[in-house]
Parts: sequence; C-alpha cells; structure tokens
Amino acid sequence: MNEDGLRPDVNSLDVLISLADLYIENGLIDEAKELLKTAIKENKEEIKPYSKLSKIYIDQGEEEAAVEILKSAMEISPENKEIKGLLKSMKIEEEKEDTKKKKDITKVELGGSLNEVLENLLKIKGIVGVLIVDDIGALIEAKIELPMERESTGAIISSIYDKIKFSSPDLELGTVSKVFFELPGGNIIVLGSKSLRFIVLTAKNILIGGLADVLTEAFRKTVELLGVE
Amino acid sequence: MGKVVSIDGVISCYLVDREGEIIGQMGSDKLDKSVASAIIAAITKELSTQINIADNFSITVMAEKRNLFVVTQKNFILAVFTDSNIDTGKIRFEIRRCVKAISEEL
Repeated sequence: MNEDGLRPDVNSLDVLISLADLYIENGLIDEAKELLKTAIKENKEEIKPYSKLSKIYIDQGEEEAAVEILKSAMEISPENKEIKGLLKSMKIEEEKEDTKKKKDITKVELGGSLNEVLENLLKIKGIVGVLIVDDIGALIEAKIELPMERESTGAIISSIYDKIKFSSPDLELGTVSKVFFELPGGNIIVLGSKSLRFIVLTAKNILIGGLADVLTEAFRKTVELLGVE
Repeated sequence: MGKVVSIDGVISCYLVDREGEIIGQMGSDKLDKSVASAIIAAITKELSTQINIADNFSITVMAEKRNLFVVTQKNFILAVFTDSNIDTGKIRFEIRRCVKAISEEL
C-alpha cells in the first residue's frame, strides 16, 4: 500500500518493472535489485517483481537468494507456472551441483592439510561425516553434514572401538586395523592407531569395503600430519 | 552354519544368544568358547545400548591375524572368524544367507 493508504496503481508497478529492465540493460544490476525489492515491498500480491528479481539472482549465481524469493512468490501464487518452472530449474541445477560435488572414490585427492583431507573425504559419494578423536575419546576435529552432537558421538564410537580392541587378545585377532559398524540408519567405519581414532560416517546403501583403500590412505595421512603414533 | 564354515578361509562360526550363551558352534579354533561368546555378546550389547538400536546390525573387525564378522538379530548373534585375507564380499553374502536361514528356523 502507498503512504496515502491506497492500493498502488498497477501502472506504477509496470513503471517500476520497466525501469528495472532499463537498469539491467545498462548493467546497473544493484540498482535494479533495489528497485525490485521496493516493488515487492509495495506490491506484495504481485508476482512480476518476484519473478524478475529471482531471474537476476539466478543470472548472478545467487541461488539461495533466488530460491528464497521464489518460495515467497509460491506462497502468494502456488499455481503460477513461471514460478514453478523457475523453482524446478533451480532444483535441477542443485542436483547437478550435488552430482559434481560427490566424486567417484578413485578421483579424490586428499590434499596436504588435515582440513583438506577431511573436506575431500566429504566429497566422496556416501560419506556424510568424519571425526577424529584421541585415545581417550576427546574430539580433535570433525566435519559432519548431519545435525548431531560431535563430541559425544566421537566418544561413544571410540569407547566401543576400544572395547573391541581390548578384547582382541581373547579373540586372537591380533592388531585391529578397521572396524565397520553397519547400522539401520547408516554405517560407521573406524580406523585406529595407538593414539587416534578416525571415524567415518556413511550413508546406508554404500559398499563400505570399496572405501577401505581411500580411508586407509586418509588415516595414514592424518597420523602423519598430526605427528602421532 | 555348515555352509559358512565350509568356505575357504573360514575358521569357526558361533551362534550365540543375546546374553552370550552358546547355541551352536562349528569349525575349529583354540578360543575359550564361553569367553569368546561372552565378549561378542558384550560388544553387541554395548553398541546396542550406546547407539540405541535394538537389533539387525552388524560389526566387521579387520585385524592382523584374523577377521571377525558379527551379525546381530533380535534373538541371536552369529559370529564368524576368518583368515585375514579372506574375500570379504563372499563371506558377507554367505553370512547373510545363513542368518536368514537361522531366523526362519528359530
């Protein structure tokens, strides 16, 4: 509504849109964005400025902002085909991005720092978290894509790993190198040394045996980077 | 269990209840069977309690001298000791078939 309490004239909205187009044509993108935000503020029930602003965000690679605007537009006009189409195309792009992000395990370069090792492991399809804890279960580092309590998760898994490790003489296993837990909600892989526990969380439907080599290498590198046994 | 034990590289196979009592055992190893069963049940109980899962989970331990495959179901635990260089895919497949057969029998 305008300051005088009257509903704005549709023509004034058309003028704002035309002016925004003019700004875009002349490369004044920020000005166009501000104008369209104003147009949305003053014409909350009109779809045009939402659509126009979302297209600018898409062109500029600001996907999150575009999705936000499109979702707001959907609330006003759930059946609008243009908005639906734009949202759908955004989703497809997001999926493509995910596919690009999650690499085949044979193509992962682990990198030269601890942070890079963990970040690169998370790029492997199926891996959703990596935790490093010491021999008493205290968290050293964690990268997890799931909402979970890192310190207690690390401590719990570490304590179960230790129980297995300390039972090894009675079971005549020798030195334990890896433990795989296949649980209803996903898998946990633990690699251990004298002073470190390297815990990897994966999605349920993944061949954990296929990850063994890359995880062994990541663990070896972690031990080396931390300079521990 | 006979089929699992007959696989090349399998040392022994234990069928244990959730409290650690042996229901059946096949194969030959020098382990104290009662101790081994109790340890296996204790490990599964610890995991079950700490992570709050009742049944249908498995643990695979890869170690220097031999590997241990443990499958936990509602009423029993199947544990299989193998050589450390065994084909893990093949043994896991046979263990699953065995678990299914035991579940139907029990």
